[in-house]
Amino acid sequence: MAVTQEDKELLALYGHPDTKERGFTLIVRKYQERLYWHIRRLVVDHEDANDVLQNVFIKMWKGLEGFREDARLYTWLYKIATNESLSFLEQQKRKSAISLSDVETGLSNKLQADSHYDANKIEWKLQKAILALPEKQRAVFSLRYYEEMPYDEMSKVLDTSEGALKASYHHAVKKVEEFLKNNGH
Amino acid sequence: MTHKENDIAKELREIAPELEHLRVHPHFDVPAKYFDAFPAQLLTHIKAMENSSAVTEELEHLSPLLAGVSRETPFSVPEDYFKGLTELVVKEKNFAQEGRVVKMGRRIRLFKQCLAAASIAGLIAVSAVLISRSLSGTSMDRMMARISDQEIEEYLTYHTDAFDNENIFTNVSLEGEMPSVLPEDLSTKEIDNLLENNLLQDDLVN
Repeated sequence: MAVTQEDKELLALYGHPDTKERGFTLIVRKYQERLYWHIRRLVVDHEDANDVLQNVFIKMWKGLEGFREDARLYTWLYKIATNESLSFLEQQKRKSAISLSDVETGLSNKLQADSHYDANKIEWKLQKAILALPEKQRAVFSLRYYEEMPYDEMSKVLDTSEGALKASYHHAVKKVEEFLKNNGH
Repeated sequence: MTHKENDIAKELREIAPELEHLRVHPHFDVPAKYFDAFPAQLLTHIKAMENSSAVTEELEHLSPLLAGVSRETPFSVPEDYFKGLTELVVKEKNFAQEGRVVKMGRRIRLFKQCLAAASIAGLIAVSAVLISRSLSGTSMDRMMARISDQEIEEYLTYHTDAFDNENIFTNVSLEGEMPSVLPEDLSTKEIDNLLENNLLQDDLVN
């Protein structure tokens, strides 16, 4: 898909030395909230999401000059955000030298620490079901279910074939459904 | 002025004469290149709508239960977090840029410190390995010496299985049947020969 007109204008601003800062600020303003939510769904904790989001924009600042205009800024930013989030989870695993299931328990505990958490509400049960998925499948589920990203875009974000992503999403939906059914829905 | 515009002007004069002079187009501000960008923006919006319905249809097909659940993320975010986020990110970006500058002198100093730390760590590691080897050897010998033959027999009785037995007996050399009672008139040399020919091989346990 071609780069959208608005992104083109933002990139043009960024590409000019006099308006570079302004271009960067506008790109951050445009994408900060949607990227935050994508990251937050993967790392769960707000502070962790905040750290990862800042890293994403710092990487964007460092790499934007090499950004290919034929790619979509939105896809490129989601790719950085997804990779940074998965790397963060990997680092957490290595730091604590704990198993994957312990990481899931840790994320589940963070979920329950949220001030709005209510174990009986379906939306929180859904979050628990999503956390039970393997990390990359969680990213696939989040991009499709929440971000409504087309498979061709997702393929560029996750460097995986469209067929594999479709299969992964279908499996993820079935697993989430089973979790909800086993938990009273 | 065209005939149609004349009719509209005449109609307006008749209905509300005071509005006649206000018919001049006002100068509203429009963002630069708004109309140039409008078709592409609209197309993006239409595609997003189409894709959204494709995702919903797919979900309804895969899991009607999940399709009926709200897709809103229930997490809480600190108040006004997004308001200050842009400024924070821009500030962090400048900080990260400054952080990259490392003076050569500082780098050499850091290298020397790392080298010294690595040498000390290496020395400690080698000493620890040597000490543990020497300690473990003597302690093992001491422990083995304290075990009585009876304890070893009992251990072998209760802790060996068919696999161990097979392993042991494949290494045993018996060149004839051992007499249950040694004849009294055997000379020392004959006893030595008998034992030599029927002893367990040296490499019973490697």
